[in-house]
Amino acid sequence: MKVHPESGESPPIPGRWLPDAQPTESAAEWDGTVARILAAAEPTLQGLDSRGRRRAGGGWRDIGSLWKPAAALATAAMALLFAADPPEPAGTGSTGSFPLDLVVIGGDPPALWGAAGEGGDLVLAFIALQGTQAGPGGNGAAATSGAEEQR
Amino acid sequence: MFSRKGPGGESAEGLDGPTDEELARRAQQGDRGATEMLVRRYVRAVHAVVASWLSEPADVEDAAQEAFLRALAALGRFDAKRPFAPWLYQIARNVARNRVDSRSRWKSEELTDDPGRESERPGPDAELESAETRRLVAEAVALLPEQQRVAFRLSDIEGYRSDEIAGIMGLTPETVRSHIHYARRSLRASLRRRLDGADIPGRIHR
Repeated sequence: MKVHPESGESPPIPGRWLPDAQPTESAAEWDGTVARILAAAEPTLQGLDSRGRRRAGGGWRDIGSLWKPAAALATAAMALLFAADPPEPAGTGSTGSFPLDLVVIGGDPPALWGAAGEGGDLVLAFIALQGTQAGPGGNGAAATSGAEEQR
Repeated sequence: MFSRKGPGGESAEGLDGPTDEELARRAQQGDRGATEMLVRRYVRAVHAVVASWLSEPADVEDAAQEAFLRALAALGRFDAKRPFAPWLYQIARNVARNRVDSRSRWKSEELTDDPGRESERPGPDAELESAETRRLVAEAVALLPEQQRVAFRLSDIEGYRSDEIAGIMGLTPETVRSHIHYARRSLRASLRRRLDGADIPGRIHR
């Protein structure tokens, strides 16, 4: 059997029976094809351009470009700190900051709520309402119905 | 290394030109020249690969363009430490296969509507014999297993060397040579049956 140098064993099929080959890479026929491909890929290539610019400007430039979002974040954090009420010491009697422990241990919920007024703690308000609805010898059923009425 | 010169053994910048991976890295950073060089370097190979699945020149052109567009769209995710050619080959292969899958679904419907298609084959006229033989060969090539078909196409039709094909397909040159050998053997056997006694090289050499 004739040995073909490239295949190691088999002789090739006659070229006249085979489909035509593509032109070589350097052939001018490919110029139009390459141009068409690149034109069709233009949106993708623009994406690569901008990504490349970002990469090329890395390091300190990247850090520099982050100062705006970092400053905005810091400002927002500071604003939140100032907007939130600072915690008040227990027993000052001001609204919105009664420790629940105080109520559970020995406080009188309706009285505390009365002292706190409209801006009082919601938990205290609910407890106070339960106390009002159920009375001194009240039970859970009364409290529940009271809560439902409230809704 | 194959990738330095590209599959056609030619390079715009000669042997010292940039490797595929270097070009890919530059293309990732938006270097248009590198992108164009990559496309130009592989335009023929990608056309040849998709032509292993598709026969119509317009289909080949469309599929090759789609393969490049997909590759360029995915270039940002390409790991430039890995060989570029097999990565591109896989994309081209997938594009061509998807087209064949959708086409075969469409074709199978078409064939059931056209039972008289066989009669369209050219008759035993001598001047049609060569064209008929080429058609039979093309059909036989299409029936080869995928890797044999691509290796055969790149080698015997397009004229790539086995080391170049190995670089494109991500195989060893020995494996490529083996695929080519088995492809030729299968083709000869297939053509022997189809051409019924025609003078087929390989038989006369035995």
